[in-house]
Amino acid sequence: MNNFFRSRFFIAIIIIACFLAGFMLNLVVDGGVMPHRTIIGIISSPFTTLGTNIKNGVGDFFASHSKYEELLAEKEALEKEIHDLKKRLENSYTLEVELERLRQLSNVTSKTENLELVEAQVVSVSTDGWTSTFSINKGSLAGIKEKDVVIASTGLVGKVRDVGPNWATVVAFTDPQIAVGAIVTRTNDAAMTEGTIELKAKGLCRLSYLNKNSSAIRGDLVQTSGLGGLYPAGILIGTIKDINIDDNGLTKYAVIEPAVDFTDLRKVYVSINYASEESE
Amino acid sequence: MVKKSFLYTLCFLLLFLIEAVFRPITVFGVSPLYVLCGTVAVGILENEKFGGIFGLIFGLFCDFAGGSVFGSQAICFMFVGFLAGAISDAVLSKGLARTVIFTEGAIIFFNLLKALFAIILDESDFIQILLYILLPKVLLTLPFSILIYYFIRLIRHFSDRNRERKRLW
Repeated sequence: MNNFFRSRFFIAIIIIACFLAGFMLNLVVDGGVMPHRTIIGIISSPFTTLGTNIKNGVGDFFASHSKYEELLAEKEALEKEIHDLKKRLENSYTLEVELERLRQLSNVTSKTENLELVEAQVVSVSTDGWTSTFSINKGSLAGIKEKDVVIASTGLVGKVRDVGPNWATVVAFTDPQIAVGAIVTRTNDAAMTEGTIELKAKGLCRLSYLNKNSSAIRGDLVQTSGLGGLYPAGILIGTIKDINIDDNGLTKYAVIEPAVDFTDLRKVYVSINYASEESE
Repeated sequence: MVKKSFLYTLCFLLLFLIEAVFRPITVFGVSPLYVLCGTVAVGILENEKFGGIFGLIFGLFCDFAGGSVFGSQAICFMFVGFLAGAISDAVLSKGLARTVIFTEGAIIFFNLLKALFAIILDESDFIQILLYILLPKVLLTLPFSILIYYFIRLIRHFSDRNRERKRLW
């Protein structure tokens, strides 16, 4: 047993563990840089990108064959929807002109209008089960920075946590560590989304601190409020699935179903020009 | 030795891709820890050096895929791979039972440690952690620790047999 503890390899293991622990501590305390992370990112990125391309290719191939009937029905439904939407678009054009006129009068501009977006592919997902994080195949070379807002075609995804030259790690807003200022679109009630372990496991998140008198109901849409300056206002977060009164009896909370399907997230867009108030 | 290491590297790359990219099995957002299973199997079937080195490298890969603190899985995998190979046969004989005990033991130990931090720092609920993280991880990883053990053993046999053939020629 003495030989075991005195072996060179055991000592090497201890030294490496100390180095890693030191880097971890530095990251947690100071938010310091981790050079080995960048190296690992550069090495593993091609493999994860290749793996993702294979996964998506194979998935698409089988989906297109096995779900043929389903796709036909979906196509018909979509054609109907397009027809309806075209009608609504014609009506909305008038409203858009009216809105623009009112905006000019009140001097208010939409914060999501001028977002400069970088398209990226999700290449790998967190494996530890504790966090909702994933890696994307674009990094600082594409202009991505820490705390940049990440969205998908359907709504809010989260924020960039770490960046390397050709990769970035994104924390989803359903993660227990993340809170987002939100607003219920119909009632204009301000609240905050928070992740919990239980809801994260079910692919949901919580909308906390809703006013007790809020008339928000199931099915209401929730979007970013822009309060706090970390996220631009007006990005869709999700739909209220359930609403209850908090244990303290003073506020309400709701369970939100995110607009983004995190189980099948392939493509995201990183806003590289939104300067949050915090970073300013 | 080089050929065997190359084969193990390919095997670990595959396990990493299954764990972080393909994710064929996911319950409550948790998928089996294939890389940890491979690390323990290699540590036991080869030696502590193989277990430690592969645990460190592919633990870092898993950390890169995402997670709480970068490096935590690398340290965990490195120590587990090392201990799986280094522990005396008198304590626990080499084989499948040792693989399963080490894999499951490592998952329980390191997740309980994380749970402790989560409860102290974030006031997380232990029951939620148990139901939605720890139990799914333990149960999902169990069958794969057996499958991957046999897979690694197959690679080892294949590599050793080839080396023996070459030596005879």
